[in-house]
Amino acid sequence: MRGAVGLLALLVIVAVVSPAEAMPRVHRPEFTKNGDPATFDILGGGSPEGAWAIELRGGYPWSSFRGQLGMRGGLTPLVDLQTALFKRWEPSLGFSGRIVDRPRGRLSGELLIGWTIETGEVPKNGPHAVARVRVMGILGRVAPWFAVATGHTVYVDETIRISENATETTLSARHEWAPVVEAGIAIAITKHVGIDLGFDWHFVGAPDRFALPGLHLGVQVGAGPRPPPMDFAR
Amino acid sequence: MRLLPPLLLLPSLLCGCASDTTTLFEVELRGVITYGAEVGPVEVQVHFEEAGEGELNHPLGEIDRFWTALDTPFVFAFDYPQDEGVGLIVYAWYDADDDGVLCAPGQVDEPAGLIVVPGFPLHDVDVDMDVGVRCQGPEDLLP
Repeated sequence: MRGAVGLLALLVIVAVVSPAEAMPRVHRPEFTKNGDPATFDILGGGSPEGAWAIELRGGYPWSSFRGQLGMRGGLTPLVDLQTALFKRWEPSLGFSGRIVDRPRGRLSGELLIGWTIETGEVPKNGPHAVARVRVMGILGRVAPWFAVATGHTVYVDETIRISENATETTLSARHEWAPVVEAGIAIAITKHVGIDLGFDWHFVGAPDRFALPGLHLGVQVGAGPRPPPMDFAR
Repeated sequence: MRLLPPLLLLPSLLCGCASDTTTLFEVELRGVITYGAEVGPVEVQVHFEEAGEGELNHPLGEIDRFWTALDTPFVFAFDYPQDEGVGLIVYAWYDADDDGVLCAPGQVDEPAGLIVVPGFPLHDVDVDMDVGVRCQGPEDLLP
């Protein structure tokens, strides 16, 4: 825990002293324009070319880490690690991109692939893929956001059958669907640091299993080149 | 989206990372259940001697059950999941009033019996049992 706090503090310092701070200060409406706060990049999806952002989210039962870096052409590679009570782990790699990008709102999509590892009484492990859509409204420094995702994990089971004459091994596959609904309020404290408070609802094993929603608090940090203010008429 | 599960299957197969392994030991149970000279339906249940691990360990644990008839030789094949428990117990009760319930209130006192199979695991298990204890479940008949 101390290590995580130390790392976060270091990233905050790096973000604050980064060259992007040298960009001319803009009045409040300008601040809200697209591509500005790192918080909005993380929760709204996508990053401007060369800009990076990370998020550390603590919650119950789900916590997560996410990092992304804007590339040329609007494609944003990202790394994502989610955990439920440190018993189910979902590390993923993927890409994010903005589909609609307006001064007052943003729509983005992302695709991730990774591996699910669950420990405990019924351990599971298998590859997964996630497709997510994010929507964000931008109201000054505050941005309500909403995201829906569909996650698919395939578990391969091994059955060893021991008969009197032979031992046979067969493999079979199980599919687990895990749709996720998330929403929250993002607050950009500065262009480089922000927080988010929200709920997340992970329906692991849907539709056969039901889940209760969880709450989270996230801290986002980021820096890097930002695009010039956009024309509101765009 | 239909192609996604097969595509996701590939990495697991390539790395040999099974999520769950079940070991099934094939068992063929043969025998005869008797109760004097009576003839009628009898239910036979096969159980672990002990099931579960650690704090979840407990005696018994049903594996399978079937119906046969008293004084009639039977053969019953089942898969014994070796990862879930140890030992084998065969329990049987005679459904004297043919109601499908062991000793329903106000009905006939039905006889039952239990055998702990020695030397298990075995692929071929022979059980000859004379039921005679009234209205007892397998938990009451454990040695």
